[in-house]
Amino acid sequence: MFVPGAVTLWVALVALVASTYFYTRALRGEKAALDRARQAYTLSAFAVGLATAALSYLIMTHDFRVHYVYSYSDTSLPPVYLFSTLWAGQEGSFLLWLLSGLLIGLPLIRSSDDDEAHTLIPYNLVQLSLVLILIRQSPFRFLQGLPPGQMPTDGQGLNPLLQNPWMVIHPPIMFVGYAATAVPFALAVAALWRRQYNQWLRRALPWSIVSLVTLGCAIMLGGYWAYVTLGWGGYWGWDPVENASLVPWITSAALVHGLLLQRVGGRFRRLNFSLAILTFVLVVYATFLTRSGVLSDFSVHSFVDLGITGWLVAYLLTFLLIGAAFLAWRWREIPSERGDEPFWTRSVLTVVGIGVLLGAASMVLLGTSAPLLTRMAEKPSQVGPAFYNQVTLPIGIVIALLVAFVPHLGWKQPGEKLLGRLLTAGVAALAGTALAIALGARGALYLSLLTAASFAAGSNLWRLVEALRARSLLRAGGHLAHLGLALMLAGIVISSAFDRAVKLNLPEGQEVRALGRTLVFRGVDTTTVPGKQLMLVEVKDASGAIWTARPRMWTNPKSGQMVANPDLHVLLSHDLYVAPIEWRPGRAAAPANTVELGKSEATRVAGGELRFDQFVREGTHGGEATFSIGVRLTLVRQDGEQTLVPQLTMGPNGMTSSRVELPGLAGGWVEVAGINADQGRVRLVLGGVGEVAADPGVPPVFIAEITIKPAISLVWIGLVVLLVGGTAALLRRARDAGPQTPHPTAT
Amino acid sequence: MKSRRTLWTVLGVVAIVGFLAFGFGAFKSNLTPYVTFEEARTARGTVQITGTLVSGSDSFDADSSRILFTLRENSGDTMRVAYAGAVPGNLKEADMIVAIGRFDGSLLQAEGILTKCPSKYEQQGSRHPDEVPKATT
Repeated sequence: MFVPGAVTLWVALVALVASTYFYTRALRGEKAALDRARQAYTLSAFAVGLATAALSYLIMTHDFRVHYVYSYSDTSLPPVYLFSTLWAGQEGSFLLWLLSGLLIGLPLIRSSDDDEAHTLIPYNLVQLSLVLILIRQSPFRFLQGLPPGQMPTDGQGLNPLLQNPWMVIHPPIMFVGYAATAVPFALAVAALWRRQYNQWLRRALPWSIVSLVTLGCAIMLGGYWAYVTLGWGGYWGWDPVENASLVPWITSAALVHGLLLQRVGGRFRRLNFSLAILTFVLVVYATFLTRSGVLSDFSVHSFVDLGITGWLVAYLLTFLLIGAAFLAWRWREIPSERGDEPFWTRSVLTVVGIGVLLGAASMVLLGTSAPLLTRMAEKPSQVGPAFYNQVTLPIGIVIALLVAFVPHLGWKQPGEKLLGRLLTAGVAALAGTALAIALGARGALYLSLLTAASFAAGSNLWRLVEALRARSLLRAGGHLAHLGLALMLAGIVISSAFDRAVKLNLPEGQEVRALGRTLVFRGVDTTTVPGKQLMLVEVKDASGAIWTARPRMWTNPKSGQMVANPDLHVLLSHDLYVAPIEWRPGRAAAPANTVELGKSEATRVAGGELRFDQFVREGTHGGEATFSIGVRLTLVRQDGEQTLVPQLTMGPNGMTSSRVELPGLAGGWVEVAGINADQGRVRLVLGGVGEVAADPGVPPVFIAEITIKPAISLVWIGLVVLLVGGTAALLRRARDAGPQTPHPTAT
Repeated sequence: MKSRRTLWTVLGVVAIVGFLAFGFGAFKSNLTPYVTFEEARTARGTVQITGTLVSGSDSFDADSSRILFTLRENSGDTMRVAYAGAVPGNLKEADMIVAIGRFDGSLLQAEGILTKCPSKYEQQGSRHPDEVPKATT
């Protein structure tokens, strides 16, 4: 154990326990206890900051005595990737989560009024659970069984697939999002505790938008990374790890909308308490699913059970019970009013939207939990992407329609000029769909989603322009986010439903026509990027423009295995995606009278054929530094078979071959010109047997999958717009949440 | 007023029940059990199997545009798999490969394959202290 690091974690634990203890005393009105509680909290944040610094130092100085450093880093990593190993493993990512949580707690304390103790007690419990995991599974423990005073010279390194800029920033953003979900949870528990059912939402709203934006950003980065490095051509595989972040993201979105509703109408209190608690509990459940090893047979990611499964189950039950108990305790007391708005109002459609989001979340959750659920009854089973696509497609259509209507409606009344606006946006949508059909798009459900998404994009773009004219950019955050959502939905459906893919054999130097393009494999570039082979594929489109794809195939020196990375040509209208499948080295052309044979292959000679059987190691008694190998050949003729064993000797003076006469063929002989032991092939020179046809050779072949993905840029553009819109909304709500603001007014 | 509220409630309940029925129907029809190779040979529907790639067994069949490879499971049993979809780039890098599909009498015709790549949450390589490289100070 690296003692200073371990000490910081214990200090953090003790300080958090003390902070919680003093907060419980503050509940009874002790003013002094409140100060002590804050000091202890700040101390724990400081201690965890030190722990993070200590682990970073161990990583940067290559202290391979430490198990974590040894397992995830090595001396060959460039500094940025080396530093990113801080969050490459289980322990480091829990540490980062804890640090984010404690730092988020500082402004949370500052913005508190008399609810501080009630809020920080549940909040501290969350941080305590993370500290306990880190003490149980310390990032500072040493490798076991190491002789004293010694350490390994190098570590095992970072998986090369993770050595990517997107993967450097993806985890920290994700853990900020996870950590932020604890704030609405704690505020909700405090509000129930204190019977203050309204005030909490002013502070919960910005933090729930933080979760929404950061989780969305992290999901986008993860998807983009998968798309540009893994080569299967997609960005989302409905894998448990992906779903584990998607479900809290969806419920965060539901929570944000619920809080907005409550802010406007003063209603839906029970719904929001439930959503705040649910979102956090789902984060814990997701952690349990992905970090406990329960899904190890069902995920493309490998999980190792580090012995914290029981703890995670205990945490899940604890936080579920705390939340459910507080809700049940106050449920009947929470005021609830009936609304009387007509259906065509923003309020009613938002409620419907929350319902649809929860439907989506529960289906993804059901699918992800399938192995656990079915294990109880029968053989563990899982559902594949088909299930998720089938279920989410209609949900996407409904959400796009809601997002299309909402901007034209008031919270309490249908908006002015509603019909005219809807008609205009609807015409735009139909025009977009007609264009798609003209371009060859088919399929009723896909086209419905496309229509609904263009409808939504048109509606929100219009309102956005109106808001910009009125110079109220911050107020337009919602429209911007919904515009992004619509663009993303359109991008998803166009790129996945209407893509065209083909697997091609590309012999070196030969033109191959496919997908309206001409492709030529120009060989392998081994020099530009050391240690990686770039496959050069020239792609000429109909207009004659040439782009050279450079997908990579290389061997991971740590594992000795093959890694393939795609290359892509990004255009606004489509991406051209070239993913390597296989490379065959080919065979050089041979001069006349030379033949190359694999095992059991034969070549024709006068009156029969000569077959290569195998290599034999007999007669390898050369002197020092020489080595000889026999090549067993069988001469097959009508009158029988004869075995010949010419020898190839490799010595200090190069290779020499013995010459063996071909029996029954006056003047005929055979020599070994070379061997390829890896492929089991031999090259023979024949003499005195007349002409032997020259081997034309086989050119190297690159086999690749070429895909045209129309409009996939819309997915990324839409996500970025969505996140920018969310950030604008966050800035506005954070300003509202400041302590100096008077009682919030409805907007 | 009251009757309109009732109408909306009924419509809401119908929508929720309809959605749940649709969701669970899709769920049940898409479940693929995780079976051994032996069970996969006799199974009726779609199943999924897990194994390691037999090194050098993978090849690309240009005529049918499929990749063929052999998986070996823990018991030592092997199965030939054919797959026509997009091949993950880390197929050969993968520790374990999951193939989802139907057995057609000689091959598992895969509809999908998953590669378990070494991930963030995996400890790579040697786990045993004996395997730690010989050290210097």
